[in-house]
Amino acid sequence: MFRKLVAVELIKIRRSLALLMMFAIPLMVVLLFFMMLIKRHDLAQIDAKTWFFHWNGVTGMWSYFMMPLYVALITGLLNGQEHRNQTWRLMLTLPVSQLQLFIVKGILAWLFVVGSTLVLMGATLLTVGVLVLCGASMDGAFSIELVTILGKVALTCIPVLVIQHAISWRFQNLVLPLAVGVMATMGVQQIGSSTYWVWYPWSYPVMAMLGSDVAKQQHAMMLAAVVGVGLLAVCAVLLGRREVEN
Amino acid sequence: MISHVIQMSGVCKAFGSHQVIDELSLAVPEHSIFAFLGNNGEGKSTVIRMVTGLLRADRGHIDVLGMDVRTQRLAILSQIGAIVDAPSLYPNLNADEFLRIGCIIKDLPLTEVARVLELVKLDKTRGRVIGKFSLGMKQRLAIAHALLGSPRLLILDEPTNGLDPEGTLDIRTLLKSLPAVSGTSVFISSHNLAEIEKTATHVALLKGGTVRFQAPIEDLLAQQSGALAIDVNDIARAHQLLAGAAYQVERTVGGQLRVSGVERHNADRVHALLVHAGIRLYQSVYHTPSLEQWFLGEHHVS
Repeated sequence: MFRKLVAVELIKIRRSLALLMMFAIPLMVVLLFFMMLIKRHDLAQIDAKTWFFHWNGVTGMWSYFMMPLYVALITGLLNGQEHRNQTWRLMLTLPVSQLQLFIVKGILAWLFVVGSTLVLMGATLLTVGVLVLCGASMDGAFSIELVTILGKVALTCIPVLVIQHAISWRFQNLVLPLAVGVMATMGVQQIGSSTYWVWYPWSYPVMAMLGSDVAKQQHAMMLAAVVGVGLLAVCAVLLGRREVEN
Repeated sequence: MISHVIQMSGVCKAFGSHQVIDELSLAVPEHSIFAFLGNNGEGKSTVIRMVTGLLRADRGHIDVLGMDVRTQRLAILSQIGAIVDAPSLYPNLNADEFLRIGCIIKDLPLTEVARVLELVKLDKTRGRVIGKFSLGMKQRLAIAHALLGSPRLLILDEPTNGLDPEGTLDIRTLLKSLPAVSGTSVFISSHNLAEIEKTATHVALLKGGTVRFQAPIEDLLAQQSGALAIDVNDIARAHQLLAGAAYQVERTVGGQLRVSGVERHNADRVHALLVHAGIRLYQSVYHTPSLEQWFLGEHHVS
């Protein structure tokens, strides 16, 4: 049933705003950093240090700020499509359980995050490649470590994704999940730099990518996995208790 | 072989302190077109939601296709097609893509898409985005979705809403053919009483949270008396004469007399009474009892 539901969810996103956003948001980040780079540096000035800060800027901006907001937006859009068109009734009068649908929508949202991170990495590589071809130094321009970023984002976004998905599933209004997303993202600035970051899932992606040492980064990833599974289990229990429609 | 596709007994449902459904019992015979009638807010949609498992009954038992809706919800849903409330569609998809959703989940061949689109006469617009459909086309598409896989039971909430007269006729013809063609039983909730009268084989009335009446529609109408509309040369005298003979008489706006509570085979008695009194009878038309009259009578609306 999960395979069938994924196929159905992939049909539903055709010509949707969610699909457009998967490309538009990461491309905006890449474009912003590309413009900043060429505005601040002549091609000849770009060296390994510049590339380091460029990649750190792109990935930092994504993990710290844009990705949590993107998760809020994408879960809101995917669930909002069903709320807006009253299609929960259609889906739940087909032989599908609430829990299956909840999990598959969560998987789809996760695929969107992975997809948008791929777009981010791909577009950044493309802009870096163009600048190298135009004469910028190749030293430090590309690093195999960059690939790990994708894995870290994919894992550490899960707790935030489950929380945002549950809110968007439960509440019809898109404003509420977006407001939670914005406020929680702002909170990373305060809580993420304190010892309480372990209690705050929004800080996990930042810690996993930009944490001060490897141990902290691994701690963030492990926490994300455990908290993500735990939250999913809580959602499953709550969904089992609720009526399909109320 | 089951004799009833829906069997409800002692069903209760409350929302907070408001008791919407109270000790409701209902039996929908197999191969019937069963109309479920009631005023707004009486709980028709609540009943449909309980039958499809979207809501749980607080008390009582609901069997659909011989299975308990509490424990075998998914097995039931794989054998029924349903429209609950207004048509629920994805405006960003085209008709073809939309119907593929049902086919994939119900494990049906994709050839079903073409079949049901042809049934509801939308085969020429299968590639058009649903957001550009008219209300009637959306209604047809929702019916097409419910018909995927020739379900054993079709549950429709106001199926002719938004349809033009031709569309209404098409859907009526289609629904009437279903029990014989595919063995599908149909459960319809509707306010369109004239349409129900032409379509349904059985009828039930929901009032005050419980079913007040359920029977074959023929039996129901046979129990009702019709009315005679007569046109005479002396209305005042005819009125006096018939009222004196204990008939229910009223003058209509068009200058005729309407004699209620007359059975068709007794119409000649009214005629004889008038003719023997020397009143000229220009015209006499017998109006058969209608579902609408019965429904309004049940709700004490004159």
